[in-house]
Amino acid sequence: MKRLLVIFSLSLIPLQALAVTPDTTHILNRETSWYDPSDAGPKCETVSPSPSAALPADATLDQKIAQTFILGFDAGTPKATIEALFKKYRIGGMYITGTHNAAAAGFDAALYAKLDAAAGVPIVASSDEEGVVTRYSYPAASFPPAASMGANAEKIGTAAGIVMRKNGLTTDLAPVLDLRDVGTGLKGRSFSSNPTTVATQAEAFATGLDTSGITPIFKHFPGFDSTTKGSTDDVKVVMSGSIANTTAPYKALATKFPNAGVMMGNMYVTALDSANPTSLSAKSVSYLRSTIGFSGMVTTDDLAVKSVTAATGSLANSVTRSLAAGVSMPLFANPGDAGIQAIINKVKAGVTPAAIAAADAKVMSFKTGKTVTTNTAGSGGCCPSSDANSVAPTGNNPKDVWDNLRAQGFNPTQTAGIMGNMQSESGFDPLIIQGGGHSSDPAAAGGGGYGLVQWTPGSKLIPYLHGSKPNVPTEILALKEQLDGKGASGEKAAGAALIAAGTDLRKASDAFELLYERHAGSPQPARYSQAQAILTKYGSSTTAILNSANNISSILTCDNTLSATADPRTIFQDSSNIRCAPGTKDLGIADGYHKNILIKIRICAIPNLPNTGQESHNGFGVNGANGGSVVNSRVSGQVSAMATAMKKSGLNIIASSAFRTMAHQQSLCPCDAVTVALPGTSNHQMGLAIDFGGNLPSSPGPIPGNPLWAWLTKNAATYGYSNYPREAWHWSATGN
Amino acid sequence: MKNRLILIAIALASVFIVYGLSQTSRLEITTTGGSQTNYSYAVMKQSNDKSSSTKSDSNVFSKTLATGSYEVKVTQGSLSSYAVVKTAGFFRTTKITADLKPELARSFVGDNPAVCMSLLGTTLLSNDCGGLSSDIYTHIPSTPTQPTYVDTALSPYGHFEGNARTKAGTLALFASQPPVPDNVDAAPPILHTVYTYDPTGATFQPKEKAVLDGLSSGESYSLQAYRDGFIAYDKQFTQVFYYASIHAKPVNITLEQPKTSGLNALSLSSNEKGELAVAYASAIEDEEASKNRNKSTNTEIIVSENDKSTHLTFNARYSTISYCGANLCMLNSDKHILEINTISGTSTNQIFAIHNVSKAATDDHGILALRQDGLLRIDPESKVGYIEYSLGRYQSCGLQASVNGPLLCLINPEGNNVVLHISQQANNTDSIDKKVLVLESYGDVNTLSIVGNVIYIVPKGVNIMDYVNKTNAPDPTVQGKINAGIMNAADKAGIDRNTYVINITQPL
Repeated sequence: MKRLLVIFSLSLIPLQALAVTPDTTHILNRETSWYDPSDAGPKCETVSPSPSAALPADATLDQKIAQTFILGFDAGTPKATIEALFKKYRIGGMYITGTHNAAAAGFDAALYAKLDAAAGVPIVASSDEEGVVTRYSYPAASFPPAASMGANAEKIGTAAGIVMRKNGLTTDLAPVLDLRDVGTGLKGRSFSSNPTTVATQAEAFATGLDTSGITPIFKHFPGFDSTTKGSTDDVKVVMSGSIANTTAPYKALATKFPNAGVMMGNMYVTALDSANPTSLSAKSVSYLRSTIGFSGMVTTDDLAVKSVTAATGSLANSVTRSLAAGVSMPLFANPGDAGIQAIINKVKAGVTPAAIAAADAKVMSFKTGKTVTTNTAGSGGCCPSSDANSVAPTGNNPKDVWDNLRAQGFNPTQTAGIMGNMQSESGFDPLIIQGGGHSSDPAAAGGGGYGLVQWTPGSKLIPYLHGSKPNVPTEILALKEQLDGKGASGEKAAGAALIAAGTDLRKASDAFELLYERHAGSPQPARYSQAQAILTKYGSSTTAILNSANNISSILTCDNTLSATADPRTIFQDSSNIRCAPGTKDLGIADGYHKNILIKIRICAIPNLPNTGQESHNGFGVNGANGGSVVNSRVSGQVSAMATAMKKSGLNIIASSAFRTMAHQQSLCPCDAVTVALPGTSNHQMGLAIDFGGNLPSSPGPIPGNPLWAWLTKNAATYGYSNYPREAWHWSATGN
Repeated sequence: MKNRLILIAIALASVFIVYGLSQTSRLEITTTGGSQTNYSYAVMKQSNDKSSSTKSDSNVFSKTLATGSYEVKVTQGSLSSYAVVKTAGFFRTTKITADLKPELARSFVGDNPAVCMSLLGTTLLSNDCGGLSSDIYTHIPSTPTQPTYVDTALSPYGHFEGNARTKAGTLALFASQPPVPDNVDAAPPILHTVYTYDPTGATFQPKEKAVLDGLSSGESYSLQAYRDGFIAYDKQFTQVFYYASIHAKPVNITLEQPKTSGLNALSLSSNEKGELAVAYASAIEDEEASKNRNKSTNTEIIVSENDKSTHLTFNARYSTISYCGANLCMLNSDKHILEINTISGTSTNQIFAIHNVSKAATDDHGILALRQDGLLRIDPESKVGYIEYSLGRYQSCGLQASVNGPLLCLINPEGNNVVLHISQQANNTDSIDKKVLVLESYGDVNTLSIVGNVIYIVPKGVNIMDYVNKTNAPDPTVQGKINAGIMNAADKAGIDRNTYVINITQPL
């Protein structure tokens, strides 16, 4: 309710452009050749890209490289030129330079949608929206400098995020985690000089952004403090003191926002790497990954600034070294068509294909909001070397493997029994080739083993992938199919033995080793002990996954209690494993869309909330709703409860629209992105929005005297629903 | 004139002296139990929460105080005694006896519980406090060959709604929905089925079950022991049914609704006389909403007996309200004060209070008050108690009364949640909860889990991939040294390996 009021109040206040100073400049030096392969840094990261946001299969290597770029464009660049560059190179993302009224300059939702289409994959549409620095216009006083946000940081983040979403942005190059203001005239840019305060308020602001569907990027790692003067632009800045304080906010937030990004600063930090700017430093990236524990996307401050190009000789060298150091998305001002090609050529010569693939996968994961798994054995790098006695990677994979096996219905002891074996077979590495090395092609293993359970030959896995890339989820699905006896290499006997093992860890471990892995000789004691370790570490999670190996309806999680509202952190995520609430009807899995990304959602019919929309009456391929409103399973409990409460209050409501398929949303166009959202961006397409068109007029609220309006404004928030201020009839779990 | 002034001065002085005497008291504490040395006496005045402490080798301690209510805590090592006293004026001496008692035996019963907890035999069950989508998590105890884990063994019965301990045993209510045939569009009705269990039994197999009559399909219900049977009630207390047994027909109980608008249903409690106390309280709300609401009443309790209802209203917001004997135990969540009140007409009188309480519960043995110094056990009649469990380096995450003693959810310094059962049958002998903290902080321990007398440790170590022998294990010599170091650390921590099995796994 409070958020609703804030949003509503924002809509009433006159707009005012805030005075801002740009964060990024774009001074470009032409390249000279320089690249040191010894500074290559981590070369491989095991990632789980979502199949719903992948580069088209025909993408060239040049385009795969450009997919890692975030380019800065100013208002003067013709939009057609930008679109042409995105189409030619399939550039990964963009940010805005040199304007403080970006929407008026044409950087709007329509442009970003065109760029998505041009690139063939959703782009990272980002901007420096910090408060003291902004590119878009916000209602007066609604987006103060970070230092003034105080207890309102989350509300400000939410409200500002709504404006960003409206303008088509997906990503905010904020919040700033520095312990002092960096940049001339940018007073109040830092939340505080106290790292605890910075962490707390930045978390609140980032949570607000997240609630509005905007992904935060924390900057400028490892953080400035008062001991060092100067900014990041054109003068070499050296920080020679301890970084314990400046990195404290990153430590506090790294695991809380695994799908966010971190921007590497351009300063030299002697505690990390005195020879390279942080943005080009493998040691710094490694520190961020291993010591800070951040697994998400890593970008840079503008690499086109003089202080960086002076160190490398050219922008192309800087970008190359940045990628080689393990950065996922180097950020720099647009160097033009020829400049982009020159950078790509330099990257091809200086960065390994594995590193490019790893960066691309991180980019895709960032775009889909999926957690990325990074292998970080030891502090020096991530890769198992190619010799047989290499150190095996672990990273977060065991937990991913655990979660995926549990989601497939294996009980905790069966899961641990399988995983004890996997540890010996692959070290939980889904891309590992027997004997060492990695590939995303199982056939590359030749006659040897490949992947989590070392399918031998590796090609045995291919038909079970059904066209998907090998990664933890797809390989676990493949294993499940095999254990169910499906396909040419079915292992039904092993599956039956696992089921027969019941809750006996020893039996489960031995059954998998002897009947599936067919390990020669008697069971290895180490595998059972590893199974014990896994059960100890992960077995007491109270994630609600039911215990059944075969029935899909019984392996769904249930986090939609009647009293609870949906978690804003997960509301746009895949809900295919979320059960429809009791009293609602499961209609199966549908294609949902958020920010133009396909997300699988389970849809449920709410019998006590009748709906005239076509999906409720077997329209657009959605069958079985029998007239009930169709919603995402994540909100089915709260919507059902809200409908019940309405009825109790004497309101016999018939809704007019809820979940919409892509075909339905497209049929509503031409869309203005305000009253009808662009296809792929509407909350109706996630099953999160409900229209009460027959009961509420086609105007913004408030609607005095309307009993439904009165009821909703008083009670909807209890069920996690709020009004989109422009449309009295439109209520959703996110307020838009 | 001068004499008159002198008289007035004398009179005023007398008044001040008499007033001063009337506000001065003596407190004398005689300590029993324990050895005859190293006593620590702490006295806290409740009106300002100021305390003073004195160490002494004497078992008798006296102190001159201003009149008022005091909390007195005497400790000697792990022995303690606690009392709430009201001292009298005019230097009258208030004498109390502090009977030092040891802490009680504790055992770990599970890791990472959901919010609501209960114990069936030695097995911890936890859940999200009921509802139409709530599952029960069964914390399977460790054995020497298998670590603890969480499973949902009871889920086949449906979604957990609530439980109660009654004279007929432990009852649990589950909501379930029959399977939907493919050709049926409408969702089938939800059934509310009650199961009976043996509270000390080791299995989860119910003894008996029955579908409760009278309950609505779309509502979620909780259970509460009542008279010889139990009541089932919805979350708003608008539907309350009494069942003499699980097979009995329901008797509708109509409860009056609160007279104050805007309050949320909080709790329902009953006492031996069959009285019901239904509490409503304001939500912990944001600043903006609170400005627009009438703040004069933040809690309303409706006490009902035989169709007669009394409405009690309070400015304070209470988070826990339940009968403790004939009185009401009420935790003021804003001030962290547990009040023990008697009902008098349409108001309550405070008998005594305990300060700095974060959580409270009542059970057959009295009142449980969780504070920073530990779990306090208080007899509501004598106002005397002791610390039956000290927190040490743990922080609390939950308190629940259960069979044979409370369940404490604790957060260890590593940030992991564990559950301790505090036995009411035996005294603490080994402080295993504190010793495992020492072991867990040892540098080569990656993960430690203890349930009952079995400890599993995942050590740190570097695994080496060997494709020839299909192993991914550490160098045995190196790991052997690491594991020996862990065992040595266990010994140094004082963990008795004759009592506790320590199982070090392979590293992950």
